[in-house]
Amino acid sequence: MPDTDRTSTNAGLEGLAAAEGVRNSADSPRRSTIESPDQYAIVEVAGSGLFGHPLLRSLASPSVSMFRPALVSFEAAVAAAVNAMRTGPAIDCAAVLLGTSVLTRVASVPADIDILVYFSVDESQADASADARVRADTIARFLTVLSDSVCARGGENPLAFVRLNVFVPLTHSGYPGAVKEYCCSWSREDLQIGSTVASLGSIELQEALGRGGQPVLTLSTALEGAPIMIDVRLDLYRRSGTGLVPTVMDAHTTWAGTLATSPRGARLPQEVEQSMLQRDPSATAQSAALHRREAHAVLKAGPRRYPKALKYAVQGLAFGGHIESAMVLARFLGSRECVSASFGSRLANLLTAARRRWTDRASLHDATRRLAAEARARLQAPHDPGHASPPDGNMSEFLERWERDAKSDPRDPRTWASLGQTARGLQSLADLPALGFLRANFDALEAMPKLRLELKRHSAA
Amino acid sequence: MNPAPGNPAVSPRAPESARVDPYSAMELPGSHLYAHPRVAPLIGQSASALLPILGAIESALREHQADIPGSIQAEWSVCLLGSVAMSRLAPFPADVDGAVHLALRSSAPVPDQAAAKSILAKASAACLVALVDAVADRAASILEFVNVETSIPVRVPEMPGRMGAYTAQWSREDLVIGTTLASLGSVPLIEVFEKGGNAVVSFAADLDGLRTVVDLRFEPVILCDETCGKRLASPGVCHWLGRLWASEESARRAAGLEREIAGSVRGYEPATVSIKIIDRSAADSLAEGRRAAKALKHAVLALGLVGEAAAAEALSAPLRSWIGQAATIATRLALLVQQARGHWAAPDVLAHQATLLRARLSAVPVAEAHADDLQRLRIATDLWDSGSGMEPDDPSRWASLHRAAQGLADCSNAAALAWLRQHADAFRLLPMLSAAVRAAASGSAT
Repeated sequence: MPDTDRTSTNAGLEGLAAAEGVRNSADSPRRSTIESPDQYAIVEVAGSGLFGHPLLRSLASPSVSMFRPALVSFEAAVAAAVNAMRTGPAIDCAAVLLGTSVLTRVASVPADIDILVYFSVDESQADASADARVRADTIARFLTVLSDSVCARGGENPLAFVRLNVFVPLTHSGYPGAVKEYCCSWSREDLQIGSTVASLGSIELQEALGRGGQPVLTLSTALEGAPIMIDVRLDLYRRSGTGLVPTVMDAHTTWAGTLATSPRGARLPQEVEQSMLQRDPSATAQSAALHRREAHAVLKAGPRRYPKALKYAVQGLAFGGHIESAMVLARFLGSRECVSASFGSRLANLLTAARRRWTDRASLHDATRRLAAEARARLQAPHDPGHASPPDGNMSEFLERWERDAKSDPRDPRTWASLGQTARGLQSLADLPALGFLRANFDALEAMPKLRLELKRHSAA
Repeated sequence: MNPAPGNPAVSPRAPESARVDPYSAMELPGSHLYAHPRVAPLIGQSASALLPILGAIESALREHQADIPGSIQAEWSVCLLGSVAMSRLAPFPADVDGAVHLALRSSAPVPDQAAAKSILAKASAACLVALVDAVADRAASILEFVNVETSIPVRVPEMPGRMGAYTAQWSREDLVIGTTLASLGSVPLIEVFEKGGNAVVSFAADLDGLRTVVDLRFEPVILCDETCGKRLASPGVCHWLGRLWASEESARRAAGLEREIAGSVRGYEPATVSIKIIDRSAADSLAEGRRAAKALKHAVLALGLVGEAAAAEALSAPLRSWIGQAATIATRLALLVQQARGHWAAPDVLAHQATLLRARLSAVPVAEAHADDLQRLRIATDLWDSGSGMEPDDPSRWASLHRAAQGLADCSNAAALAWLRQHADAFRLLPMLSAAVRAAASGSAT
């Protein structure tokens, strides 16, 4: 993986200048907005073979192409699954890359790969309740076939099934603490059986989906030799006479941060967004992108997850057209603390798989060894003193401990507990610096007043 | 439906525990196992096959010095319970149910009930981890750790069919870390006990050459020291009757603990309490579906506890016939599938065990079964055989075996339910079970 950290911010600004159809307001850089002649233009990002909105040129470097093989492999699995669904209503799918893995110009080490699948089912309007049942059945069958399809594919970029989670909304949980989501988890065996044994008893996949559950498929692959998890979220829509309608509450409406492997692949996300915006005439694609990310950032800042809040702020400002402000904040994403936090998250994902027996411990332990070597190489590489602090004692200590645990007995649960502490330690290294950075660059958050308010509250506390 | 032959002649009557010391125990001849004299007739020689399992747990706990916080002293005792303690009547157990009692005594004053609960929760969590470490590390050649399942009582209005318990699974890594990832978020182990939850530790062990699951209920009871002047939270009593002990010392400890608790509860009568619990368990088994054989086992145990050993033996006839064996094999197969679904054991190990179990099914004498039952058994075995032809890591194999287990369970359930209906008079002293049988009968009629 090339080290883009040193040049991230400058390259980002150059990318900004090169973006087609994007123009900054010269007199007020902090309030810069996009005045694109076509907010739904599609361009290739820097010869990466990935296509999306022109704005992404300022955030994604050519190295974003490293994610393309995984996306192509997954698309092939999706295509095979769609072909296998010969009966039932017609379905349409498009898989896109999104999240922080798109930000390769400013954050070179992703914690994971996020893929969003736009999944739409053709429905009549004759009987909505019958359609809902058919839809749940169709999606359940698709997920089972897709899981088989993923596992059946070998080749140069093999993907492995890890888990299917379905997040069912619960507004009035009887469990103390008022948790809002009920996460049911399916192994491949559970998928074949059609049910899982969850915390409140056995539940069928159709029922979880019928209750408005949002499916998230977790896969794994190797990225430049080291393991990485892929979170695939399905945004579910029904296609009826009035266009595309989301069937879950939390559907994404902003295609601005998504990358597809072809211009054709970017069209369904675009259609979804246009359909959504038609329902809210006061909204624009940019304002929707900005407000959505701001809401996420506020949610993350609440429990003091400042690095994550900062990432959402960068995305929101960029997609909302406040490019310069976004680039000011993006400086932090190239810091050594952020890189260490990303490795911490990747390690934490492996630990979760080990704790839940999603993958066998021996191969996961081997994966931690490869990831430790990758982390050592990346964290010891020279960083731009302009936007990175030198490695401190804690970081070295965590790395040494990680390397020691990666040689320990994988059957010993204490090995994994220790790796968990290392993961948490690495993740926490960026917490306070991120808050400090946000405070120091408060002006850049002018377009996100709710986030500013939340951060002020923290400062006061 | 053709139930197994036999006609129990029972005249139900009230428990007669007043005439028998409820806390006495006798050694079963030649087995080194201890039980209440009322239960002893239900236990056969084959129960001694369980001795190595109990002994391994006992010796592991004896050697282990638990790291208990503060001024808490812990005293362990181990027993078997449920139908596995009745090997004369059900010689081939579906699984092994056991319990570890833990008497926690505080030698320091405790200011209030909230503090008591907190002390109990911390000590219980520490002892649960110590129990798993002790057995998993010291008895690894006999018992292989599977997982821990905790339950917290909850009410979820949005999921009315699933009210009752919020369960969470724990790997050993989770136990060391002290939290698990459950459906509603991360759960700390201490919180489980703070919220009145309980835990079952599962191990796998070989029994008669077949892998079976050993479920150990973790039953902490906290008592204060005399100097404290206060009784701390007592979440439950030991329900001493109907259990099987691996050593005289364990039996004595448990009986002493129950006697101590009973002494502080006005009107507590061990046999009455035990039978009420058994009645509820039997009714619950029937309500869960596919568990009529289990309900029958409970009814038999209850008869034994009131001293009706002959009637118990007569009522238990189906447990020794194809009905009981098919139910047992169905449960065992379901446990193998469950372990495969949760990836708690290697697929090839589980597949081999399923093959051994299939051979056991072939040996079940089905001559007495009705033609309809035979047809259902054939369908289930066809599903089983079809699944067995697939690779161990092929999820379709386990889906097929899952359906086979359900088919077997349905078949034996229908036959056991018919038997229960025919002999409803025999268990009139179990009102909840009687009502459940009537409800199941009317449900099947409609």
